[in-house]
Amino acid sequence: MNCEDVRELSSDYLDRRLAPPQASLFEGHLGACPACREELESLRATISLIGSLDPVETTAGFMGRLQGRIKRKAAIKHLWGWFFEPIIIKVPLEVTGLLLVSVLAFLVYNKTGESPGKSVIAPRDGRETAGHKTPHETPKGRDGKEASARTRALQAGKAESDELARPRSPESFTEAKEEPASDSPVTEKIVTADIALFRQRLEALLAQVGGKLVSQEGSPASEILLTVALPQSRQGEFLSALRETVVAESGVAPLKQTEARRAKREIRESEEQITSDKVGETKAGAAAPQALLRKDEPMVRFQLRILPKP
Amino acid sequence: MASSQDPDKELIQRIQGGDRLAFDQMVLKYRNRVMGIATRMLVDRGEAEDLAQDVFVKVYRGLPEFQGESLFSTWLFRITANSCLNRRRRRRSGPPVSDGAGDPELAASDPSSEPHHLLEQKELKIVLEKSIQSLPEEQRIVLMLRDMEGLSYEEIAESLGLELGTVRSRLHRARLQIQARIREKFPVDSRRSERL
Repeated sequence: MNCEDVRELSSDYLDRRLAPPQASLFEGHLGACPACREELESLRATISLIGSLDPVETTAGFMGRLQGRIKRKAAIKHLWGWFFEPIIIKVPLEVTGLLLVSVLAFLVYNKTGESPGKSVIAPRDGRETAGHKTPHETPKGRDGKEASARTRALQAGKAESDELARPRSPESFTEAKEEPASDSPVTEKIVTADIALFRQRLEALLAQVGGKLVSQEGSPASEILLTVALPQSRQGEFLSALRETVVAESGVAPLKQTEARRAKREIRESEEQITSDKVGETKAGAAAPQALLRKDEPMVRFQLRILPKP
Repeated sequence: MASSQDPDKELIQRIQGGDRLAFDQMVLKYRNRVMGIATRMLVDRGEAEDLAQDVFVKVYRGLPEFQGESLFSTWLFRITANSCLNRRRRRRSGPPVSDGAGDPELAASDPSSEPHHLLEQKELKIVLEKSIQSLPEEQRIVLMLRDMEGLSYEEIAESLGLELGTVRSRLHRARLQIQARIREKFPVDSRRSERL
């Protein structure tokens, strides 16, 4: 054993961890080497010095603080055990309960929390639609509640509400033809001595009841087929007056001034429209005149076959 | 149940039986030694005391399951060493060189009023403390467990999860380094085996 070996094994020797044969060799070398003996003693002193270091004292109140900490830990552990132990039973139950509460809260929130700012497009007010709104204009209800009320009324399936809500084109009367309450035309056959004159009287009568002349087919010289439209509520009145006209060949009852002027204007407009139409056009293809449509009444159509008196 | 050769056997049995006074006695017996290891590992005394309290809380909670496979003191210092190493890892701080600030008694002494040999002892103590704190933490903890607390190589290996050979080499290198530092500061005579 050399000095290097002795230096390497000095800690083991001092801690009595060398096997006896190795320890003998170690001690043999020490006996012959003063330097290694001195080195060993120095290391022994160092170890002794380290072992003599004083413990470090704790500060005052250490015990009190420790006891407080232990109590807090015990309380937390007790709470933890109360909530979560046994884990296999309590945790699934608590998770399920939490999920149920979350779902209920979500459902309650959705049911009661209608956003006040949500805009509801109310169906069109029937009074405003007849001939005075473009198809693209969609008036809104005053607030969501009124719109909802209208929506509910519409959804109740009332025919009148459906008709009011339907957009109307002022240029096309074909939609009116599709209105179920007044779709099937009534054909009246009229024999008159003067077809042209009767036609004029008819237009005046139509203006009086708020109707209009939709189309004309044929020639005054032979036979003409007139299609007229008028409010359903004035249907009886119109037919009575028409028959009286036919029978009596009398004039038309006087109208109010404003209505008369409007009626004359619309008759003129309708005449212009009709004269520009080609003979033989189908009813569906005919352009409807710009006639005044009653705002909120369903319209009925009549076809009048006017024949010359033989 | 504590080992039959364990000097703390009776104390531990009383604690396990619910005797809070026995627990307090145990704390009083070991608190300064635990504090010594903690201070030399963490340097900051406030943090060391906080760690010491953590150690005893762990002991309190773990005592019901203590089976006595080792001495109680071994078990206690194992908890202390691992707590110190974990705390240092979290802190990621190296061992700062202390100028004696960790020991207010040393810093406050007046050199001119003390006998020469006492002053020399104090200086030696300061050099020793500094040398220990300058060691890498893995050598420092092994050195303290062996040379300050008297744990065996096997106990240290088990406590720290090391091989015996690793314990042996770390301990030997630590001792040699301390020896070298002391010789450097006190070159004339390094045989200072007097108790400080």
